[in-house]
Amino acid sequence: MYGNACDFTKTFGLLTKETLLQSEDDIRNEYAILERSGKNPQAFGELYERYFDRIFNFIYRQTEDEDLTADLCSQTFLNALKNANKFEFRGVPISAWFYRIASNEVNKHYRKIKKAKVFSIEEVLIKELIEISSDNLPTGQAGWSEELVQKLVEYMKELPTDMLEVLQLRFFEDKDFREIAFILSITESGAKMRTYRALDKLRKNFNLSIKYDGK
Amino acid sequence: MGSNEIRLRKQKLNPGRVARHRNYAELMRKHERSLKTRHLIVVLVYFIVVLIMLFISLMIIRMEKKKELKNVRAYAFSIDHSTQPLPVRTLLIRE
Repeated sequence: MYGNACDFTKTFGLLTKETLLQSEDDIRNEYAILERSGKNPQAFGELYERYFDRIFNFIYRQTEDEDLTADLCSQTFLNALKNANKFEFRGVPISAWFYRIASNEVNKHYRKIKKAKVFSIEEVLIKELIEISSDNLPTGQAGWSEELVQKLVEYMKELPTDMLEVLQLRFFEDKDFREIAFILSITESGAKMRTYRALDKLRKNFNLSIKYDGK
Repeated sequence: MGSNEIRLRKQKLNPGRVARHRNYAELMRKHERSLKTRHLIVVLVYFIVVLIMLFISLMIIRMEKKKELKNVRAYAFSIDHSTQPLPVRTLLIRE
């Protein structure tokens, strides 16, 4: 149906890559702040202000409930603050640790309520991520259509949770495989494998050509 | 497979709405409260441990006392039974 219809292009400009890429010094600085927070909790405020929005959005994409997200987000930062003394430098940014705690909190919530996990995705974001090349479209079909979006959603429903988690972190949160592995407590090769499998399925289902930098 | 609910949102979350939930003071309050609770639990655990140790030592002392008393009684009983009266004949010889 969508034979050679789309060109799946990975565009990493969503969260402005410059602000997300951290040097080793930046990471160490953040660790120093975290270390200080162990003795003086007020120091944690800097990290809280810096990462609140990202963690909030990350949780909201898995709940679509603002009040619940606020609770889980607050619990995430509270847990981080409680364990500030115990955290050791592992080469990943502090944000990865916050994402890990947030992910655990979300999973804990779903285990408690025994309901299907929600993945709430912004249509805008999907359209930004998946760029349709008009050259590949069949005549008379314009870029994004409701039908195509619905098909994509249906396809995503078929994916297992662990694959969706990896895709969410990789494409919506713009995390590299090392961070994904840390957040989900899996190996880096495991994270890569899950991503490639999901993309492969996408390619087969939609017959898309995927440009992927494989960072 | 496929046990998730995928929802499509038309818009991204408004930064103003996110900011409404940002409250560092509240987080600090929660942290203080959890610290107090943690301290309270630690004190309670110490108290219970001390109480258990005290109980155990009291039990040991009591058991030892009981044992001592038993030993004393057994000793007294053995003395009591070992002092047999002298036969009449020997008494007469002495006289």
